[in-house]
Amino acid sequence: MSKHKHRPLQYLSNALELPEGLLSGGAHLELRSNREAVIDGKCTVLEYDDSKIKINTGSGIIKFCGRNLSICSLCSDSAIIRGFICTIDFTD
Amino acid sequence: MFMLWLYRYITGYVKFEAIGGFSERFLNLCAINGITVWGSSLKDETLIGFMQVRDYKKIRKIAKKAQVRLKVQKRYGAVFIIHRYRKRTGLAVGFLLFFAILWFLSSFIWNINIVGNKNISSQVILQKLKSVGVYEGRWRGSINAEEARLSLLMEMPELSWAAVNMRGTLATVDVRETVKPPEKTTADFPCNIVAAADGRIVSIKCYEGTKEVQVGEAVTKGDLLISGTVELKNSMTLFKHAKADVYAETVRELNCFIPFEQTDRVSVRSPKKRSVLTLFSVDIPLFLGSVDEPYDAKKTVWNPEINGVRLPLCVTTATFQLKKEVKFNITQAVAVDMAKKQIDEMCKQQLSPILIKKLEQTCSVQPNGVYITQKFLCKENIAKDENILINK
Repeated sequence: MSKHKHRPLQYLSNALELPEGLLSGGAHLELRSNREAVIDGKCTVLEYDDSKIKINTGSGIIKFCGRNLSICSLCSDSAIIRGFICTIDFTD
Repeated sequence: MFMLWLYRYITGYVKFEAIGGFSERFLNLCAINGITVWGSSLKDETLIGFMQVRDYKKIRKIAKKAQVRLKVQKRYGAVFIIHRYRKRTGLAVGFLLFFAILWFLSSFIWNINIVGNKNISSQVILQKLKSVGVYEGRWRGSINAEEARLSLLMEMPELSWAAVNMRGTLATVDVRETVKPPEKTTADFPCNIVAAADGRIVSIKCYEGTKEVQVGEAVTKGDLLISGTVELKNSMTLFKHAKADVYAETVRELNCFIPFEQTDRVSVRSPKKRSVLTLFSVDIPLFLGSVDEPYDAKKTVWNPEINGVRLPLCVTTATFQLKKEVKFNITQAVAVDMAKKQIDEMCKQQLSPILIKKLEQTCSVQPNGVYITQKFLCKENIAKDENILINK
C-alpha cells in the first residue's frame, strides 16, 4: 500500500532527477568522516550502547558499529550519532 | 550554535540520568512526544543526557512506560539562578534600579561636541547653544534638533550652516562659517591726499592726481598734498582717486615718568585651594567658608575623557594667593633705568614702522621721580586719503 502511495512522487523525483527519497520522505544520511553521522528523517532507536547503535528510519534499518558511540541529539525527525564509526550496515 | 545554547540557558535545562529499564524505548518515546534529548551517552545501563526543564516535567509517564528511574544530576540556566535568589528582593530592586538609572541618565545630553569651526571659538558657540536651549544636562527629549539648528543660525550670522545631531548622550554640532565677501574697494571714489602729520616734505611719488606741494615745503596736519581733480587741456575737469607716497621729516615725542615711591603686590601666607565638583552639570563645592580679598586666583579644570569622550564630571580647582600692597622706594639710577626701558617699549609699540633718523633724550630729576623726554626725528609717509564731496 505504501509503495503505491509513494509512486507518483517517485515518478516526479525521477523526472526532476532529484536525490532518491527526497520527496517520498526517506531518511537522509550524512557523514562527517567516520566521527559523526546525521540522520535526517523519521528515526527510532532499536539498540543503543557505546559500541553499537541501531536506528530504524522507516525505509530501513541502519546499524552503526564502532567505539564510544553516543546519540548526541535525538528528536522526532533527526538524530546525530557521534563516536568512532567503524562500519555502517543497511538492512530492510 | 551559540544562539541555541543561549536559548536553552535562558529557558533552563537539566542533565538527567535514566537508570535501568529500556533506554532505547525511553529515547524513542521522547522523540515521538516531541522532546529533544541531546548529549546522551550510555554507561552501565544508565542513560545520561540533557533536556529542557519544561520537557523534563512531561516525561514522568514516558519514564514509567520505559521502566527507567529518572534522576536529575545538574541544573543549568538563568531560571534556576533567578529561583535561587527569589527571596532576595534587594537584588531584584537593585537590578531594576540599575536599568532605571541607566535609562534616566541616558535621557540627558552629557556632551556637546563642536566640529567644523575655524575662526569662531567653541566656547562662543556653546554659549549661543545654551541660549537656544542646547546645553549639557538638558533632557534629550525636550530638544528639537531642527528648531535648535535654525535658532543657532539666527543667533549667529557668522555661521552659514549648522546641524545638531544627537547620538545617545552626545550632541554633535556641525557648523560652517560664513565666508565674508571682499570689501568694496574705494579706489573708484574720488579723493585728495592730505597730510596726516606736521612735517617737512622730503620726497613725493605721485601715481595719480595733481601735486599741490613741492619737496622741501613745510606742511601742517590736514594740508592738501595731492589733489584728486585733474584739469584737462579742453578745460574739462576729472575727479580721480589720488594715489601718492609723500615722505616727510616729522618730529615725535615720548614722555615717561617713574616715581621714586613704588608699590608692589606681594604674596602673603601660603596659597589656598578650593575645588568644585561639577557632576551632571550640578556644581558641588568641596569646601567650607570663603576666601578674603584681595587675592590672585588661578583656575585649573580637570575633565576626564574616555576614548575622546568627555565624562559628565569635572573638578575645577582655584588656587587663591592672598596679596598685599607694599610701598617701597627706589634709587635715582634704578628709576632712570626703568624709565629708559619703558621708553624703549613705547618706542617699539608706537614707532615700529617709522624710520627714525635722529633721537634726543632729556632726563630731569624731580623731587618725587625721574622724568624722561625723548624726541625723534622721523621719516614717514604722511599721505592720507580724504574723500572729495561732490554735489550732483
